[in-house]
Amino acid sequence: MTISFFALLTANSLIISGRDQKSTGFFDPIMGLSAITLGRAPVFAQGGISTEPLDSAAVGHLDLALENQKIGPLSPFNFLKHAIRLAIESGAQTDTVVLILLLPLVAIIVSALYYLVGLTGFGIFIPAMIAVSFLATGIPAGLVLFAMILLLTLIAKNLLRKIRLHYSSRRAITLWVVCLGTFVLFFLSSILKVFDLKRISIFPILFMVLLSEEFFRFQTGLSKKEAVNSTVGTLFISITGAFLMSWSWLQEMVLLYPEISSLLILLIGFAIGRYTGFRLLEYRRFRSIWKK
Amino acid sequence: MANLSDVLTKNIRNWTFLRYNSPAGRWVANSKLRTKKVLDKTEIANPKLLAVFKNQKDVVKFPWEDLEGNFVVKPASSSGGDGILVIRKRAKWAGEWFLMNGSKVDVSYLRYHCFDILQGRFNIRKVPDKVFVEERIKIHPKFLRLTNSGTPDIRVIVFNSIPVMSMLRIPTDQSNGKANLHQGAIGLGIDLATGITTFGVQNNRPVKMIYDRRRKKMVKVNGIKVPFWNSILELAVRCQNAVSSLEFLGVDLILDKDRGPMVLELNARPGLAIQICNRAGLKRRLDRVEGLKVRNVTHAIRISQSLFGSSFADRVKPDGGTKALLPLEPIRVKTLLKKQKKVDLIAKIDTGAFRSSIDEETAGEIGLLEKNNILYYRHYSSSLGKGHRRPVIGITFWLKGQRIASAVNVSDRKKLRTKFLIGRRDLQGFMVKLDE
Repeated sequence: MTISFFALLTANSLIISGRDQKSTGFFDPIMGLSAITLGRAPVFAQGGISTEPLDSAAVGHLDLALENQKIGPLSPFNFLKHAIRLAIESGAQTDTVVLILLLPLVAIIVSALYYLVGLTGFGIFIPAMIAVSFLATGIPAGLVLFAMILLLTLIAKNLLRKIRLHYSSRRAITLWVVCLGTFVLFFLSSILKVFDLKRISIFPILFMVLLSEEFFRFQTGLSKKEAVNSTVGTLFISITGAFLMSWSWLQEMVLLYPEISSLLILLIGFAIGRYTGFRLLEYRRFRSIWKK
Repeated sequence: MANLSDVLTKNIRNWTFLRYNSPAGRWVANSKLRTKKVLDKTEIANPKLLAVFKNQKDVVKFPWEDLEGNFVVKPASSSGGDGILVIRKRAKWAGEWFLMNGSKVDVSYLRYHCFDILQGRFNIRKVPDKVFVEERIKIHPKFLRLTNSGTPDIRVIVFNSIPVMSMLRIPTDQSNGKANLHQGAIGLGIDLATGITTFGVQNNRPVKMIYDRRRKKMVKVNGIKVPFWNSILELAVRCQNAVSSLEFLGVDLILDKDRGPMVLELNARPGLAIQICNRAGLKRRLDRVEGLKVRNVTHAIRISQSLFGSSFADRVKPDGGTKALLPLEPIRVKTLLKKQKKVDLIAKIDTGAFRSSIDEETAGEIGLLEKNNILYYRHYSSSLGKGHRRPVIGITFWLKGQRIASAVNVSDRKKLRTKFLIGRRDLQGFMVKLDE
C-alpha cells in the first residue's frame, strides 16, 4: 500500500505545475472531440497530464462520487478503496488515480485488437501512451500534432539521407528538426487560434517524438501499405483508448469499485492470453486456401 | 482443398509451434554469423565468409582494396534483408565497385555503411551489431529471368526433421530486391515431391502470372521446375539436425549457378503466407508428422514427398478431360529393385477406402519394404475387430498415364484377386465408371 501511495505521489508531482488558467466553457472548440461527443465537460481533456489545474466543476463529479460512497473499516475487499482515499487526501489528483486504474484496460483492449482482430500497431505501450497524450491535448489537436511531428521526422529523414552522417547523430538532428518545427505549430496556432497552447505540454510532444522515432523504426522491414496500416491501426486504437479513458461512467466505476474492476481487467487479460483461434482479419488473409 | 481448421494461424503458431524452438536455438538463428558457424561445423554448404568486423577498428584495418568484387556486406542480425549491400564487380580503379543496380561505391562508402551497421541502424532491436562480408552468390539462370533485382530464394519449412512445405520467393520492384513476402515479394508454392511450382501469392493475394525477363512476357506461375530439388530438401533436413533445438524451422536456401544449393539463413519464426501459395494448410501437415520417428535424411524426404506431394489433380481438365476408370485398372509401379525398374499390376478402385493399400508379399518382392521406404507404422482395426500394426510405405505408380506419388498401407491381400487397391486419396481428378 505504501508503495502504491508513493507511486501516486510521484506521478502527481510530475504532473502538477503552477500555471493558471480560466476554466473553459462547455462547448469550447478546444475541448476536444471526446467532450463534444460525450456531451459533458472533459475532465481529462483538460487535466490529465497537461500542465494546467483541473476545472473545479469537472473534478467535482468524481470527488462527489467518492464522498458519497460509504466504505467500512479496512478489509481484504476494500483495501484499494482505502488506498485511493489515502492518496487523494494526501494530495494526489483524482484524475491521476483514475488514469492509473484505467491504463491497464487500454492495454488490454490493445491486446484484444491484436490477438482477436489481427490489427497490428506499434506494440502495446505506444498506443496507450498516445491515448494519454490525446487526453491531454484533445483528440483533434493531438492528431494535428502527431501528423506534424510525423511529417517533420519524414522530412528530416529524407533530407539527411543525402548527407553522410553517423547514425546516432542523424537521429539527434532529426529530433532537432522536430523540436524546432513544433514552434511553427505554436506560431500558427497563435495566429489562427486553433488550439489552446496551454494544453500542449512537453509530455505529449515527447511521447509523439518518441512515437515518430518508433514509427520509422517499425517501418523499416515493412512495405508502405503495412506501415500505413499499422499507423492507422495505432491511431484507431489510441483514439478508442482516449474515448474510453474520458468516459465518466467508466471513470466512476474504476474509482468506486477498484477491486472488482481490476480483477475483471485481469480476467479479460487472461482470457485473451489463452485464445488460440483465428484472428478476424486472418479469415480474409487465408480465404484463398479453402475457397476454390 | 484445405479446410478452415487445417490452416496454421498466428495464434496457434505462437502458442503451440514456436514452443518447440528453445531459446538456445533461437539464439543461433537470430545471428547469421552464429548460424554460419554451426553450418560450417556440420559441413552444410553456405556462402564463404570473407571477414567479420566487431568494431570500427576492424573496419578501418580491413584491406578493402584487395576485394575483387562479388561480395556482400551484411549485418549479423537484421530482418527482411535490411542493410545488405551486394557488390557486383570492381570498377576501373581499385577501391571502387559497382552495385547490382549499376551505381558506383567506394571504400569510404562501404566503411560508413559498416559503421552504421555496427551502431545498430539495421538491427532488429537497434542495438549495436556485428558486420560480416561474404562471397556473392551467382543467381541460377532459371531464377535470374524471373526477377529484376535481388536474389530469389527457397524457403523450406521443416518440422520434426521432415520438410512440410516450401516456396520459391521472388523479389520484385515493390519489395526493393528483398525476398520477404510481407514487403511485396512474390511467393510460389513448390510441390515437395517434384520441385515444381504450383500457385503464387503476392501481398497475401493469389497471383497467376509472373513476368519472364528472357521471354519478355508474362508466364504462368505454375510448372516452373526448381533444379537440384532433392538436394535442397536434403540440406534443409540437415540444417534441422544441425540445430536440433529448433524443431519448427524455416530454412532459406539459394541456388548458386555453379555450386548448387546453399543455406543462407535459418528462421525460428517462419511466416504463414507460404500456405496461400501452396493452397494448403500448414497445421494439418504439422499435426501429421508430429512424433513420427525419422531414421535418416533419406527417410525424412521420402516421408515428406509421399505424404505431401501434390496429386496435380487440377492438371486434369474437368470438362471432357476427366479420365474415366473402370473398377479394375492396370497400373505400373516403380520398384526399388536394380534389375527391374517397373512392374505391372492390376488395381482395384475403391472409393470406400481413403488410403491405397498394397499386398505385403507383392511389396516385398519389388523391394518396397526396404527399411528406408517404410514411412511409419499405423494401427488399424479390421472389420473383424482385430487390431493390426501395418507399415505405411512410399510408392510411385502410374494410373492411366498419370504419375502418382503417395503413401500406401501394406496389408495382407494374399487371398484376394487384386494385389493393389486404390483409395480416394490417389483418385483425385479421376472418374469411376461401372461399364464401358
